Amino acid sequence: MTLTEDRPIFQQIAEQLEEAILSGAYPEESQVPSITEYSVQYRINPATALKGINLLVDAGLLYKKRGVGMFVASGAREKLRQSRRERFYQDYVQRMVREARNLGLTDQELRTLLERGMEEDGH
Amino acid sequence: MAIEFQHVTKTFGDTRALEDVSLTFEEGKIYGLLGNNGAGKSTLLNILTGRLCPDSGTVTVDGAPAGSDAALSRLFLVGEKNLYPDDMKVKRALDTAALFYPHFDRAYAEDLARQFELPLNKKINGLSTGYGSIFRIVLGLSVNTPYVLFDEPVLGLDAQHRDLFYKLLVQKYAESPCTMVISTHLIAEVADLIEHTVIIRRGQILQNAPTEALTAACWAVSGPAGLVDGWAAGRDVFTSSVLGGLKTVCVRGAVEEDLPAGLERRRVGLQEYFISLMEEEDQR
Amino acid sequence: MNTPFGRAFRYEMRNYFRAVAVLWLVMALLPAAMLALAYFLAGETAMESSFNGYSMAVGMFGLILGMVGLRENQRVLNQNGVSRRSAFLADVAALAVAALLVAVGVSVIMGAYQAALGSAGRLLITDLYQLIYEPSSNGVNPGALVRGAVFSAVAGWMLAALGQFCSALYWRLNKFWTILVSVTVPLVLIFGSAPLLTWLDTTSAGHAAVEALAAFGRFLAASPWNMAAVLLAMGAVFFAITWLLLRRAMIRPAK
Repeated sequence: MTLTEDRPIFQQIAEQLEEAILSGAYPEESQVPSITEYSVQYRINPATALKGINLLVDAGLLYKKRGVGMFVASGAREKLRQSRRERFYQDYVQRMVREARNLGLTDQELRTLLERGMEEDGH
Repeated sequence: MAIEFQHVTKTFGDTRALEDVSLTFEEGKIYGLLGNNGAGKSTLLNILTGRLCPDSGTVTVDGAPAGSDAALSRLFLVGEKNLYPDDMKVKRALDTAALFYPHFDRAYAEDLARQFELPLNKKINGLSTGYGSIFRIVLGLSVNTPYVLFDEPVLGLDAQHRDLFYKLLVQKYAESPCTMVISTHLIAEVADLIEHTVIIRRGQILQNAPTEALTAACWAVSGPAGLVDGWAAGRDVFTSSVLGGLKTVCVRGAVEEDLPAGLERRRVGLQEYFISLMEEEDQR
Repeated sequence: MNTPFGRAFRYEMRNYFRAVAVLWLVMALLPAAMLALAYFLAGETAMESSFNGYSMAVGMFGLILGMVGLRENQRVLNQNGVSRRSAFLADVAALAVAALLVAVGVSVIMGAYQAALGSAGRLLITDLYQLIYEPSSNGVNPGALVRGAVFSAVAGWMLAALGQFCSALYWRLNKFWTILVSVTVPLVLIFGSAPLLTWLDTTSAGHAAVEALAAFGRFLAASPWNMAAVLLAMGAVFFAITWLLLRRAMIRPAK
């Protein structure tokens, strides 16, 4: 992953962690990389990395073991999936509809495209 | 515990290098000191290290006046140029640093020299620009003083060595926090490293704020010129550019997510922010 | 001695000691070379020759160390966290020790030659101190050697102070004043001497000045310790002026 300028860095760190938990790269009850590792990896200020990780701690996805490090909470994956589902409409559907109207696509054309997308993905 | 500048003024003949500068570098943060050539960055650092005496004002390091033994032994300046004798070799300079700085990590310095392929048996003043920078970086990362000041640390360094430097800097800082001040023209490369940004222009402090606060409150909005002008009316616009009928404005302050159709917003990086700020000042 | 001053002193001594060792070596070999030369050139019938370069050597040594060291030490010590005051004081102390080391070493070498050659030697080896204050001594005179060593050390330290003063002066002068000073000082020395001598010879004030100067000369010649005290005072004055010039000078890279 590379960092971009379009969103705050701490947010990108949090998203990357979420992505890794969702995909199973960081299984539940396993240790995640330390703040030092994150900041060295991306050449960012440790305070920024801490802020990103704290977003997940506050959401109950990570927990701290004193003197050891950060661990993925059990149930974190399901929790993430749930919140992603809730945001799906906002993040993808609403935007897609708005962009389709901008491009002058009719509602029927949009439906056709959606179906094509689902077919091509093999479902 | 901090470095404090209070109402510092310095003139060279007719030019005001620093004008009533008040500034604090707190303990345990990475600062960016940004400014165009001749803005006064080096003057500021030279006064802090007692190489230059201010005309008025006071500078203290943890309470000790700048230039005193107590102040100087708490900091290390990785300057733009070398202050070493002509015939001194790299190895001897490391010996010297070890003599004067009780926490200087000799083994770490030699390890860094290996990583950067810095020859220990060469004369310091015979090193190329790039290796001169590397030599100073190696010292700065190994002295372990509470304050380390980097003045143009990556001058002449290739992309790989610059990246290595940033990596080592973060590593050092994460493992044993100290105060670092980085003065550089390669702003984009340090934007995510510096927690706090100080922008200096013509000897005066223009901005002094957390880096995130500077860039978070700044957006670029672009679209058809008429639409942009209508939207931007009454907002704090500090620069604008036109490309054909497409206009882009940089604005300070919050920008709503659901902009009118046809307009797009994007965040502004620190370097773009800096350049916009300088252009705005130029037009004054 | 684990203070900034102590560390600066150790750093400077290490540098100065190298120079001291080189000077010792040269001073040990030079008379031998002269002896050899005199022997080969003149054979058995050679006239007596004398070598009294020792005082000169100690003096020049001090002057040069003082001149080259001031700025360089301020630079490297500032880079390494030592204040200009501690660096300067360390310089004053290190120069005193270096001058003493050179003077003692040179006196030992001179004594060794005097002992080896004896009073019958064709080469008369002596120094300024013995020439002025204890000229009759034949062979080795340990007391004179010790007194000579102290005397030379004081003279070397004073000249080191003069060297530092010159260096500090050029440090503070800008280009215009540097050129002005460099041109006028030799000119005054060359062309000023004639009017000065006329003034001394033809006016009563001039005569009084000559008298005072002669009295001062007699005072200096009366005892080596009078001379040493005057040299010490001069050294202290030069160091003091140097400090005033140095206090607010800008420390920056050589080029």
